[in-house]
Amino acid sequence: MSTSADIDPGPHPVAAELRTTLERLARALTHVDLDTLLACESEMASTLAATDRPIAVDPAARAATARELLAARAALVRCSRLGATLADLTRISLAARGIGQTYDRRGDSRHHAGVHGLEAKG
Amino acid sequence: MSAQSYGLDVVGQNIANVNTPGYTRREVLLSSTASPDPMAQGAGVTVDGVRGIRDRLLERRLQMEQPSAAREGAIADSLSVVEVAIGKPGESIDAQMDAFFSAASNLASDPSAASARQSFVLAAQNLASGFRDMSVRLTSARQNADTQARGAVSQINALSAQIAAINGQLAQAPSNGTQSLSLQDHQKQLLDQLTKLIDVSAIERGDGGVDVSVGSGRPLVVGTDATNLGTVRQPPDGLVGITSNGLDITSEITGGTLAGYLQVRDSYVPDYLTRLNDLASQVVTSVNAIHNGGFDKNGDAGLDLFTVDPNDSAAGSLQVNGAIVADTSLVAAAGVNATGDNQAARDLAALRDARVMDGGRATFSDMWGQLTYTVGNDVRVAKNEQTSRQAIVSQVQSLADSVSGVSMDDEAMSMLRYQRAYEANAQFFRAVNDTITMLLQMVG
Repeated sequence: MSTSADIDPGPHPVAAELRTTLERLARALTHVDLDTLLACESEMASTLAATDRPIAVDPAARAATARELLAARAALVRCSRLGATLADLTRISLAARGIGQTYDRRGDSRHHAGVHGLEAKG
Repeated sequence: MSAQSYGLDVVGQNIANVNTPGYTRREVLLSSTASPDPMAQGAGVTVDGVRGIRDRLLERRLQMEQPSAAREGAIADSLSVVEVAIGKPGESIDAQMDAFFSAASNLASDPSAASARQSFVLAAQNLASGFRDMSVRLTSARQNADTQARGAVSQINALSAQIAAINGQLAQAPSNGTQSLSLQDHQKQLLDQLTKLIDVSAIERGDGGVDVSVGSGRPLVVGTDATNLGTVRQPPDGLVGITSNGLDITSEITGGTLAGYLQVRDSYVPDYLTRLNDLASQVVTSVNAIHNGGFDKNGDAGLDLFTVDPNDSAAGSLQVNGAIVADTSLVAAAGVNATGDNQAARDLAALRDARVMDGGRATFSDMWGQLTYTVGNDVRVAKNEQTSRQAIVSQVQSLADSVSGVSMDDEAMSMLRYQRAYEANAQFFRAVNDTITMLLQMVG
């Protein structure tokens, strides 16, 4: 039989949502899953919108929230690295084929002068 | 991250091979792996392998259509050479026959004139020479087709050996790997080349390789074993028969350039030769009948003007009687034994318009016209067939390419889409980081 003292309030919902969204984003980057990548954008926007309101964290949930936030930050770092790799590989692959990633005002593709190197991190 | 990098590697590989014939678009097979640590940040990702995007039905359809297109192409190419050899109307044997009958007509005008007799003999020699040359040309066209057939068999054997070798490599290569896919791409190309040479049945093996058979199930490749097709010279012409394990399978070969060459060699050109020999034979018979019935300048009965070797073809052995060539006074221009008579010469000249061929329905010239028309028509039909079958091949190839080929635009667009989607998320990263920092300060 449990008491109210035994009930784990769990991490703060904003922290949990951030972790979940960022880990989904990292997974989508790993799987090269476009649909999930696009879905994560709106999820991240709505999670951040929730932080506009005052946030109060239950003292009992502080430890769990902290773990969740640390995991979210780790996921954020992972997303940054995966994103940078994706950007570099895209740039290199397309430049090697003579295809630019940007377009001028007439809609013509502007070719990159060359590959500047892979910004591989971590 | 390595899984993602691998995925992009594959996209890059697709892009790099956009112009590689036979390259099959790759797709990465990923799966999630459960982490042993329940506190770990999400499940890992494993690359299970890579698969080639192929439509076996379309590939099989392509393998069915290609032999027909290749066969008609070989027929059209070979017969185009024959068509040139036959010559244009009015510039070939028809012109030589015309010249011969004109010489007979001139002889009739002045049967005693030595020059008219000499011209008549020369025209007869030219005509005989024309028949012989044409016979040689057609015979050599047949031998060329035979040589090309033997060359095709050599290529088939070389391709079979390569396909068998790849079967062996595929058996050793890990499935779902890029090595296996590259081997399959190479093997598919070899199979495409093979189906242009001969119609085959290809059965896919479990490890991605193929077993190949020809004709009525004659094995060509079974696993790592390739059975060479053989070529055996056959009498009387020494033309080759195609064998498999010692059995003659020439009649079982119905597709590919090999079948085309065999049809040219065994069907088309022999028909032309038969027509040519019939024409030569009838010319000899008709001319000699008149010449034998006539009288020469000396009042003696006419000899055979033309001679043929009974052991050879009429066109191939047609000659003017050596005695007449040596002494033109032996030309029998007279119908009766009277000086100045020209009846035999007139009868010879009248052969130009005589319907002595095709059961009394055609002149010599008509028969030659029919032969040239037949050759031209056969070339046209073969070219039309080749065009229409090639259109089917192209259509099926396009369909197969739309499945297996790499679209540069698709690959570039997918890479850019991924990047733009990531950038849309990355715009929030600073705010997310600030929020995490703020919350950590609250709970810390």
